[in-house]
Amino acid sequence: MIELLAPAGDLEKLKIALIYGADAVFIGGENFSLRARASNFTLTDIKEATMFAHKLKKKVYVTTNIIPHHEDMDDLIPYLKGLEEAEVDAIISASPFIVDTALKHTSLEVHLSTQQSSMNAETVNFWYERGVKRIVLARELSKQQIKRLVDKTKADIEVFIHGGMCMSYSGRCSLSNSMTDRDANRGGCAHSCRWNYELRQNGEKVSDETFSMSSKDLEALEQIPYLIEAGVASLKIEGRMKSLHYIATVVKVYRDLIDQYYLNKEIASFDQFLNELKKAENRLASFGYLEGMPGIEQQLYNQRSEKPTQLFVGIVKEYDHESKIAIVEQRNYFKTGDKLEIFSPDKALETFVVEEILDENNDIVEVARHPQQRLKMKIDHPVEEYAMLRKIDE
Amino acid sequence: MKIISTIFKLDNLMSILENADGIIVGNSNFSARLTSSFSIEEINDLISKLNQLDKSIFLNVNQMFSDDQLDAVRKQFKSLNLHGLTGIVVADLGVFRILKQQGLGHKVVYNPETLLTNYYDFNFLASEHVYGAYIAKEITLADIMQILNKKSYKTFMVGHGHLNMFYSKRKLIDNFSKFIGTDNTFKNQQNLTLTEEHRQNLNYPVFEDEAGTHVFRPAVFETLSVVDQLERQLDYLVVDTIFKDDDYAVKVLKMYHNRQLDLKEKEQLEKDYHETWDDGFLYKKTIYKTRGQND
Repeated sequence: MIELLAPAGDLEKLKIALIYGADAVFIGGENFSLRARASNFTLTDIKEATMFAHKLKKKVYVTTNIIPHHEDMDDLIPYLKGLEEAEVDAIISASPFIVDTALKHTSLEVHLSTQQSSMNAETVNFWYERGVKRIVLARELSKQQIKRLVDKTKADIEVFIHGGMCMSYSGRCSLSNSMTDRDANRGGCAHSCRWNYELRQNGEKVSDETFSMSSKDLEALEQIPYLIEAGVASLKIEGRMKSLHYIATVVKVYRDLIDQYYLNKEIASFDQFLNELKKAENRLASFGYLEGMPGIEQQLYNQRSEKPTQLFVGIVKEYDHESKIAIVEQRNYFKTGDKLEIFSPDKALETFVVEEILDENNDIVEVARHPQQRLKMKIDHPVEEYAMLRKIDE
Repeated sequence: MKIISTIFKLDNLMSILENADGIIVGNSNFSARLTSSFSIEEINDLISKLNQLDKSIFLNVNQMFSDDQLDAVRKQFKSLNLHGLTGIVVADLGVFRILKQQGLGHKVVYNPETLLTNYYDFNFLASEHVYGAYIAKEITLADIMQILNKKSYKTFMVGHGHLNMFYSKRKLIDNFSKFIGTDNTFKNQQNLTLTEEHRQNLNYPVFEDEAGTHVFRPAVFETLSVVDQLERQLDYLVVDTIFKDDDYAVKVLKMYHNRQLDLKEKEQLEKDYHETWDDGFLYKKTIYKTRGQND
C-alpha cells in the first residue's frame, strides 16, 4: 500500500499524525535541518518518537536537509550515528556531503530531499545508483510526468500532495538570502516570495495592482487515485509548523481517501473530503503542477485567504466510560451551550451540546478561556484519547 | 584564470574577445536567463569560429527538465557540434547523465546555482571526471577560497553581473499580465523590475523566458577588488551581461582583463546603466539558526 507521510513539529504532533492515520512522519532534528522555526527534536525526543512509531509499525524520518557551509560540516558523523542509534527509519538529505557521509558511516536509509529538485528519471537514477533509496520529487511535475518517471526507475518515489508551495525550484532560491540575509537553504527562509511587489517596465509602474509570486497551497485530493496507480511509493503532506488540528484533519482526510480507493477502486465523490479539509485550512488551495503548468487561477493576488470553517477548541486527554466524563485540554475559547463536533481517528463525526464545564476543582466554568486548562465535561458518545472537539458555528 | 562573457550580438564577437578568453552562449529551448538566444546554426558557426581563434566556448544547458523535455534536448544535441565545445553548463544532473551516455561527461560544467557551498559538495562529481563546476554565489570570499584550495576540477564563478536569486518554472509575469488584463506578455524583455513594498529604493530585475521566471539581485556584483586573490586559484571568471549590452561588456571586460578597477569607468557605467556595484556575499555571512537551538 502507498505510504502516507505527514509532518510533525513536536512529539505531540507526531503522535497525533500517526494516530490519525499517517504511515510515517518526518521530523527535524536540532542540527542540519531546515525549518529552523519549527520545534526541533533532541536525540532523546527522536528516540521516544521512533519507539512510539515502531510500536504502531510506523516509521520516522529525520530531515538533515540543509545545504551546509564549511562551518556546518563539523560533528555530522556523531550526529548521524546518534540518529542511527535512535533507530530512525531514514534521513532526508539534500547535500551530497550529508548523503555520502550517511551512506559511508552508518546503515541509515537515505532519501533525497526535494531541495535537489529532481525532475526526471535520469536525475533520479543518478542518485539511486549512488545509494539513495528514495527520491522526493520536485513539485514542478504533472501527474503524467510523474508516472513516466516512476516507470523508468527502481528508486522509491515520494510526491508532495498537500501544503505550501515554494515558488522557485526548491533549494535554488536565494531571495531570502539577498533580501534579509537569512539563508533559505539553512533554515532561514523569510518567504520573500509571498511579499507584495510592484512590477515596473523601464522604471514605470505597469499597473496599480500588486504583483505577487505567491500561489495557492497544494491540495491533491483528486489526483490521489492516479498517483496510487502510477506506482508512487509515498504521498507527502508538508507543514512541520502547522497546528495539531491541521495535522489531524489533513492526515485523516487523506487516510480515509486512500483507504476508500483501495477498498472500492474508485472515489464516488470528493466533496466529503474537501469539506473536511476546509475545517482546518486557512489558505486557498489547488493542485499545483499535477494537472499541468499552473496558470493565473493558481496565483494568490491580493493575498486572499479563507478562515477555517470550524474552530478547534479542545483535545480529549481521558474518558471515563462509566461516568461519561471526559478530561479535555482547552485549545480555543468555547462555552456552555456551544454545539461541538467530535473528531477522532477511527470514528465517524458526532456532535453534542456542552451542558456543563467543570475545572479540576469541580468548580463550574461558564466560559473555557484559558489555553491548555484541563476541564471536565460530560460527553454521552464514548470518546477516546486524542479525539478533538470542534465548535460548530450555527 | 580565464575570463568568459555572455554576448548579445554576433557582430560584436571580436570586440568581446579582445578582452575575454571565450564566450558562453545558449538557445532558449534549453537555456535559461540568456542575453540572446542563438539558433543551432549560429551556435555551430560560433563553435567553429572560436575553435579557429583558439578561444573557449561554453554552451548553457541550464534549464531544469522533465523527462519529455529531456527527450527534446537529446534531439537538439544531435544537431549540435558538442565535441567542439570547451564545456557544457548544466543545472540538471539528468543532462549530465545524457552527456555521459554520449561520451561527453568530461565536458560537463555543473551549475546548480545555490547548492555548491562547501568544498565537499563542490567536488562531489570528481569520480565522474566532469570538466568543472560553478561555486555558489551566496557564500563568502573565505568560503570561496576554501573551495578553490581543495578543488578537484575546474572552478567557475560569476564574477560580474546581476546574480540570479530565484528560478521558477511558473510564468509569473505572463500570469500577472492576464490578471491585469493586458495583451503584453512581457516575455524575454530585459527592462522589467520588481519593487518590494517595504524596499522602495531597490529594483530587482525580473525576466521571463521559456524556462520560467527569474529574479535577480538589484546591485551588480563585481569582483575587481578581489580579482588578484581569485586569480591564483579560480579557473573561469564569468561576466554575465544580462540586462546590459555588448558595449557594457566591452568596457567591463577591459577592467577584468587588466585586473584593475577603473574607478572613473565604473562611475560612468553606474550612471549610464542606472546601476550600483557591490561585493554581494563576499563579506556578508548569511544567517543560520544557532546550532542546537530554536529561534
